[in-house]
Amino acid sequence: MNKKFDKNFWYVFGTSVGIIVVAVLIVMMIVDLSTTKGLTGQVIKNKDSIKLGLITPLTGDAASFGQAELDATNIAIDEINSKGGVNGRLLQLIPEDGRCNGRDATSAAQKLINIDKVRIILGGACSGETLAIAPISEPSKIILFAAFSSSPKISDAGEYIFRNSPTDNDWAPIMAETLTKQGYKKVAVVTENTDYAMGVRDIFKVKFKELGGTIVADEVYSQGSKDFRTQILKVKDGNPDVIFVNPQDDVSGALLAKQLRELGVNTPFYSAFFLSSPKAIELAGSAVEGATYLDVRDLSTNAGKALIEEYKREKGTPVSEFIIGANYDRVYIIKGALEKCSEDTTCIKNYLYTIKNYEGVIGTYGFKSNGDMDTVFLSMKRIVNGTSIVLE
Amino acid sequence: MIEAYLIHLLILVGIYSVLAVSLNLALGNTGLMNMGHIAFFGIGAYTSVIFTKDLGVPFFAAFLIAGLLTSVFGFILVYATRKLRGDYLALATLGFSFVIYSLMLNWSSVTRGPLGIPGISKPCFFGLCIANNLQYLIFVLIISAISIAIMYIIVNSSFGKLLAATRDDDIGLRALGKNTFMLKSKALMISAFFAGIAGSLFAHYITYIDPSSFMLSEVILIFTIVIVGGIASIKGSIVSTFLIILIPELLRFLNIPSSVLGPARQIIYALILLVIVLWRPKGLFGKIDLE
Repeated sequence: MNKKFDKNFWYVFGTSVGIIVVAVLIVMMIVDLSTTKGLTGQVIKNKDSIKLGLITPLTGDAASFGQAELDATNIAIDEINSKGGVNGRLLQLIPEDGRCNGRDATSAAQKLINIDKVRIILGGACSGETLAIAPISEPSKIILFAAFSSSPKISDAGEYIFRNSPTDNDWAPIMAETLTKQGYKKVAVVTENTDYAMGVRDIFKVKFKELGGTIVADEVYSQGSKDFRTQILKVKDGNPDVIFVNPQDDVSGALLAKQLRELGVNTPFYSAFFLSSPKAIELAGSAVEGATYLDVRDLSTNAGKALIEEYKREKGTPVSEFIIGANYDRVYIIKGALEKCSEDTTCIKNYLYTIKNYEGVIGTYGFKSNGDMDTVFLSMKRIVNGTSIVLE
Repeated sequence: MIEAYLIHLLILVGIYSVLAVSLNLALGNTGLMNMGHIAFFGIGAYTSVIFTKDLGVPFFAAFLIAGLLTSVFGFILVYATRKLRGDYLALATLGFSFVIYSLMLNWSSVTRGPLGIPGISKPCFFGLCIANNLQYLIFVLIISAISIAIMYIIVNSSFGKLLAATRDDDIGLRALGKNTFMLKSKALMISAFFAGIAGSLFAHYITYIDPSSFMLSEVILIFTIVIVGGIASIKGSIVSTFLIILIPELLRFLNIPSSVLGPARQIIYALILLVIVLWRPKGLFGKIDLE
């Protein structure tokens, strides 16, 4: 009796959920077929708009960055559309979830290229996405424009591939040069085992040795580690002048810094970007006082400040000002290209290579012959009294 | 062109159907709760890439080596876990997938660690290279048809009946004088072999691999395929691969407001799976319940 009731219940429950889903889908489709609404509520006609694809992780571990990319891109597109679009045609963004992996990114790219017939893809965000899309987009002469991928391998992935974010090749040598300039000879490197951090480490080691320094300890810890005593003991053994703390994310970096100090390592330390996170400073407390780090520049241009204000108003505090700026710029660079070339991607490609002094919200820059940006927007910062100040 | 997109999806369906059917051989037909199947997929992918790219071995040889080496790992796994069953076996094999994942991540001189291996070449046979996705699709379909046919024959042979008996009554079978350890190790080695060649097909298609492609979330994906399709049903696994790979793609065509796009698609996807499982608790074509 009871069992029968259970069974009936689940069937009814299942069927009703199914009906709800189907109903929701139908409503969405009807809404979709009639109009597509932009964020400002302005109606965009599907016909005759210029389609831009966006591939970025919208779910999964990297989703906070992907969502920031999507939001910043939407802000720029809405601005352009509210001013009448490009040559009288409106821009239509088609976002796709690349989930930070090659398989989903390739599916997304195939869909954008073959079904939506986009000629320009903004993305990917994770280097793994960009590297997997490149072999699909390049032969079809699709412009692939990344604003977040840092792998040096992307530089030679193809002619139609561009990016306006710094690569591992930009970060690491600056770090090595700064340390040498400060007179440090013996460095200990502690790296998180992730693609960005390991990329920086490999290039840093080569460059630092070239400049006459020695690496006295080179320790790697796995992603998400909370205990670093083994690595720290080896760092202590090496007796370094300086420590290069090289994490991928803010939490592990902060914990590492804290444990270094707790175990009596008082050597000054240098790091890359993670200390820009207020969470890291809060977690590490006095351990990071006086620490110096290399970071992407804050948006100091007037347009950049205005953009961040707008972003804060609409979306909340950005994960990184630079990502917002780079994504915003990306849309405007593409807008310039579309005005000149319409959707002829060979023309767009040639045009992008000619850009030398583009004044964007992240600063003034252009593109090198491999599609990377020609100016590096990095600056040294230091933690003083719990807040970061810019050194140069 | 719509064909290009469909070809891409069919290639994925082809690769994942081999993976799912091979998991089903261990999980459904033999009753081995193998959570380490994704590790076999990864070993196959890395082996094939390292052999073709670094050692210059022709693709087809590397493809077979990938299967055979994975099969050896299958034996190691079954040997190491020979005294475990049920939930304990599931945990131990899950551990195996973490071990392999760490190996891919940390053995950077061979696997390039977290940086992954980009620019993997498309397969070539005796000087003829696969030039486009249509040819790759034909190649994948041939390989998956052969693989699934072999597994179908195995499952329906007298050997397959013994495997089913291992699943249903291990002790009873031993009382009849059968060596169930040998049966299990053969089953897992065959299963691992096909997972390995599926990995090879995957790596040479996507052309970029990194350890995150072979992580825990992927174990869940292939388990979902097998469970939705029905335990111990080859037909079920194939149908289910179509569903599991294609439903998320269909959802790409719903224009959901972009602020909730990612999560909304995932929720709808989860609801659809839930409805299927509630409608057919043993999976679409399943006849057996696993304890």
